[in-house]
Amino acid sequence: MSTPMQCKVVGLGAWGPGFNSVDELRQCVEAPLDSDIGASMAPKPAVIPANERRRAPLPVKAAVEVSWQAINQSGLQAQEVACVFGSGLGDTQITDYMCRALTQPEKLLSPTRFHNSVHNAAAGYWTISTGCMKSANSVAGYRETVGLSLLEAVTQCLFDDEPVLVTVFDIAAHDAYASLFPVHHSLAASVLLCPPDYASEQVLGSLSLTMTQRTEPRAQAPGFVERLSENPSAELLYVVAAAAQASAASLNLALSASQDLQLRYEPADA
Amino acid sequence: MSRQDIVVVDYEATCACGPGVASLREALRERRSGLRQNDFPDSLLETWIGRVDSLESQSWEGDDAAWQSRNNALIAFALAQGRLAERVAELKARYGASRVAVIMGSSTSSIDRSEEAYHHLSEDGALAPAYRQENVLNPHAPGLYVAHLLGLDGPTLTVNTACSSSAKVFASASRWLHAGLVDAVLVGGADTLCHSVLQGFHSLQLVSAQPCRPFDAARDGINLGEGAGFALLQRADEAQAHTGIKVAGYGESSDAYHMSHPHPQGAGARLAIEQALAGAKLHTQDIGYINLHGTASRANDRIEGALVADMFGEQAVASSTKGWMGHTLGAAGILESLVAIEALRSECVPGTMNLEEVDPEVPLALFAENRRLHLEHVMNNSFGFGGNNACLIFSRTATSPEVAL
Repeated sequence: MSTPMQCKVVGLGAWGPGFNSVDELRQCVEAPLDSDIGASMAPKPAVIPANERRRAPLPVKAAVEVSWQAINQSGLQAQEVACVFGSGLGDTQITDYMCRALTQPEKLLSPTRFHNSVHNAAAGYWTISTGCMKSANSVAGYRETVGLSLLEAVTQCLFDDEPVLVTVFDIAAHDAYASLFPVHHSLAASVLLCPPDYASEQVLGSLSLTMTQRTEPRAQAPGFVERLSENPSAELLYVVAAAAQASAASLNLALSASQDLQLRYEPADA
Repeated sequence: MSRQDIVVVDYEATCACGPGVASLREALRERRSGLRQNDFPDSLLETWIGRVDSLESQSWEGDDAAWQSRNNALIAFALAQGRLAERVAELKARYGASRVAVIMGSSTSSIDRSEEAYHHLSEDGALAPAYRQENVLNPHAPGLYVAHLLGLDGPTLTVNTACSSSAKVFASASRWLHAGLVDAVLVGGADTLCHSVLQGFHSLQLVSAQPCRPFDAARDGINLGEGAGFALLQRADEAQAHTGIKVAGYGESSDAYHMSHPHPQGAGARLAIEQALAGAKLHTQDIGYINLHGTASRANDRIEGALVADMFGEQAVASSTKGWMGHTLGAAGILESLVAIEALRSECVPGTMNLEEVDPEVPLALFAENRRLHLEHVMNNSFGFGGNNACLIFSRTATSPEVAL
């Protein structure tokens, strides 16, 4: 057991089926559970210049959109914020394109789509669009992506003593990949973390994280988010929605076959 | 929250220079390049590659079939060399499987297997049953496979920041160890040759038809290579034996410039180097050897060379070792860190293989032949697509090593 790691939450972002903002996510969470799940609208992150936005793949646009929401809410400048981008499946649309092209005898690839194929494309577009020269990480944890991305972000926040944006995103599995991964909805979520003593105007609440041995089967995030749970990035939406409602939340996130990240969110002024 | 030294308990490396770190050490000393004319199956590209032999002969019987990929074959082969797997097992026995974390870096993960799968799609466009490998066809495949292979159950992460991936694993591991989350971290990097990267870099016109010539006036591109490297890390006062090498500093930064072109003044790289020096509490003159990113692309070498000359002076002892193994992408960070560590331990500093005439635009006194030098602190630079930079510094520890070369 390690001691809890604590940091402030100063910004949130959400995009997914039926919601384009944190407020719309809150409405989805508060709607009757048998409501239809809406469609994801194309994200149009204003921070990416229009000509670049046209070339940016969907996962990049989704990740940058929620990141920009979180920065705007926080009042911090993107240039002072390090970032951790996490995705369980990466960009299966580009992977599908490349693998298909490579079955052809001439094996020709588009140079733009090739450089967009890196897992850190979202981190790249984000730092380029915002002029952020801080550390940008890009991680993959398959089913454990949310817990591992948070673990990576919070250790960086506390041990490098700087604000860290954590954004997770997964897009519906594309084409042949849909036969392996039952991910039918596309979504992205952001939480902007600050060290406890970092000066920030906005404080939504505090996040406390502890690594623990799993003792019983791990409970999924309940309610609306549970309906999206095939998506490796969905569970962060639960934390975002709780913070948007100014309510406390507890959740265990998997880190490995036997280890969990025990998460506790407490709203400010509660 | 302690900030004690993070030491390297042991390490392993397999690349085109041969199986295991012993082959790499010998190749560096004897100046034997592992590059060969492109003979990657089904590739017609005119180039040279750093290929690892025998990966095709890995057998994937029974339950292992679910893990089959060239990248996983490379990981298994690399971990079968030397004694690293034994040392991991010792720490696992001492602390428990959940107290040993895995952080892998990779650029391609197991996309080689996806490439193959697409040659065998069923009529309705689905993956054929043999390729429905959920733990292989996702970008976390290297982390998942290493944990599976060694029976580790601590937090397991894969960092995918292109060519800085397996440098950044040292930064993440240092933080996890400082936080007391785990008692040991196996960091690593693994990337295999595959058509995605051969054809992808070709589409960017970055691939040379000849053996690569980093920093040479006549350089005309990169050679792709494959390889895997691993290092086992612990907090210093808990390590019963170690190499006498510590992770002294790390720096991570972004160019905020372009997805595939480095910042023209190397502004992001400078930040990463400054951060690593500050973390190690060292000055530029303390660094005895720098293993440069030195890809042999026109842009990287000109920009990195000018930056290093500006920060460390024109007489800085620095080299690119891509002429030995090619550019191993997501594995380059750790493989070249291990080359720098080997230089520190053996006092044999590799020169820049294939260098005939230093590019006049690179104001560094680079050298082709190896040199003998006593070193205290060494540095490694790794820069990736997306403008993702990492810099690492490794130093001798105060206590004497108990694990011999």
